[in-house]
Amino acid sequence: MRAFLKSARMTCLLFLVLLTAAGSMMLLPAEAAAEEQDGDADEAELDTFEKDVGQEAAKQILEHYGGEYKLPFTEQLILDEIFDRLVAEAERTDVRYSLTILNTRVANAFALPGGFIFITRGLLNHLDMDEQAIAAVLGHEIAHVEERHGVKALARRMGLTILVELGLIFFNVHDHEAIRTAGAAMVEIAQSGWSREAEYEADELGAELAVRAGFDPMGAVYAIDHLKRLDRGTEPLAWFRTHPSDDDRQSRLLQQARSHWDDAADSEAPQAIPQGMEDPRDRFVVSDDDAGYAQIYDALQERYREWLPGVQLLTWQWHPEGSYVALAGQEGIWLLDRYGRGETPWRGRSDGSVLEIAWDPSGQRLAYVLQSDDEGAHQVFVGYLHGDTDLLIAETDSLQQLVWSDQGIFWQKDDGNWRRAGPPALEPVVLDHPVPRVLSPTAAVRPELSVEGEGLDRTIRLRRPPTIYSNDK
Amino acid sequence: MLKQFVIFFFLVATLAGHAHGQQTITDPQGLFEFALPSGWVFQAQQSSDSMLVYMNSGKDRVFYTENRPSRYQSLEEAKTRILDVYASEWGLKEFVLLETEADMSVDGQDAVQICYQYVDEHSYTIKESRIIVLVEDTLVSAAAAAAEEDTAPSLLEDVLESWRWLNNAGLP
Repeated sequence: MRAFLKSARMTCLLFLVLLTAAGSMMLLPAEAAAEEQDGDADEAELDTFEKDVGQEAAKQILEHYGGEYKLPFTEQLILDEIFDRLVAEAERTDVRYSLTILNTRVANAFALPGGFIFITRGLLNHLDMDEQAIAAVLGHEIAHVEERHGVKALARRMGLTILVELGLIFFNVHDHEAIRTAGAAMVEIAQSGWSREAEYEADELGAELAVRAGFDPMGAVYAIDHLKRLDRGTEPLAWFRTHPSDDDRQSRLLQQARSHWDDAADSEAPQAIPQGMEDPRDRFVVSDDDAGYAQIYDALQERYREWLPGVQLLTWQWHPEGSYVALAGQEGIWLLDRYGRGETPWRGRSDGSVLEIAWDPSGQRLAYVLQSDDEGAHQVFVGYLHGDTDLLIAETDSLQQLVWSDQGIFWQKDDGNWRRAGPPALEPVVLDHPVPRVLSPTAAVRPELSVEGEGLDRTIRLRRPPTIYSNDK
Repeated sequence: MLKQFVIFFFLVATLAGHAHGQQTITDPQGLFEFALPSGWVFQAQQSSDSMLVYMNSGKDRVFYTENRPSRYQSLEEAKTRILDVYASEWGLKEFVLLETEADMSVDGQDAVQICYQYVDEHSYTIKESRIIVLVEDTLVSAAAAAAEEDTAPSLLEDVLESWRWLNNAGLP
């Protein structure tokens, strides 16, 4: 009841201000110039109101979520770099963006009016420091501020929608009580999520911001992949509850990511064709036997390995550095590391046959050609090693071979002609004030020992830290 | 492919240098080169085309360079910002600034040197000496760090004596 009274009071207050503003619209011509100046002043008042409400809501969010969380130094530098690159591409000059990590395992991110962006340690943990996915989430939240979704939603809550959207409200409201009430309403709105339209708008603009800042447009698709993999029964995933259906958003984001690729076009043959069927480190020899089953010969130990028993091979390609071999069979594509690990398919494709595979030169993505079971068109897909969703980049009526070089993805058709599609050209934003990283010498030379199990089942593991970046806190 | 090339390049450079008791290191972007005594091993996994990392075998010592585009207006501004971040609440643990040296040059370019210590995640006190240079729009940094030893500044001095800017640095 008290909240209702507060809300009613706020509405009345804004309504009175609104009447003042409406009155000021009926001006004599001589007052037109003065009115123009007043318009600038109104805009400044609106910005101040937005910031004040955001600041008030930010305080309440911090209290609600257990305060701020401090990341280890290097992770903080990486996060700052991602955020600063996105902010450098934002267009609102009246907003000073800030990023705060909230100390909660609930996976969520918020944007408040005035540029206050929050991400929880729970969400960062689930995104596993995947910079493309983090950029997508932060870009999405910045987009809410760029589009003033907060103020619009607040006005909608107060019943002043159209007037705010027409910019007719003169917010000369500096009453602390009113700001506090609006702040509380803002927290409620931010936690329950924006409208579906606002979310789609933020997805689209957020992905564009990320691309302009030099991040892959597929980052948003993979952010959803990361979160989809989690067991939603045990993990608190508020970001899902407050956003429209994942599948719908992913399909829109995929379309947007596709728009950043060059359309397929006739092309000269690629300058170099990688010899991807041979192990770059000259140890393993992959082949298929007379019945088409996979055979992997270990030349170092002079014996065959039983890595994929019973799988009939269609084709295979080694990772450019030999870290993995991608093998295509009837059920999809397997990625095996050099220990033969990867028993479940990286990509199950029971809807057709994978005819060709090609690694991108950086070894992070894999292109493959799928022919549907009804022997229809050949579809060229691209997928990231750690993502679950692939991007359809082209269709072709015939195919001889697939090549991925520095110039893009090439495929040769039955008539001998080549076609090419190019990935987005991403140019990272230059940071104004970069800070050199700090490497700790002891982290690299002191491997960690861990003992698991007891007695004869005891396993001792010697683990060298994956990086030597200092990780102080 | 680029990483393979970088690794190959540094393996060749390292082997060639060992014959003379030292190795000449050339930045993959062609900005600078310098000499390191033999015994320092290139760390391919931590290095990239903008970061070169070397470790001294058997001792807890690391030497690394990093170059990044920037828009710092002056060396003083760069130094202040970097020290602010390192000393901030979320910066390096138990950070102590030991010394700064502003009036110096590296192969004719103005430079600042900062020496500091901090405590790493294994609770070792690390002493690090870092040189910062602005070359056109690029922030070049070289650092030597050692665990609980006072060898970092002298190593950095030795390296800087051999330091040469190359054509891609765009210097007159």
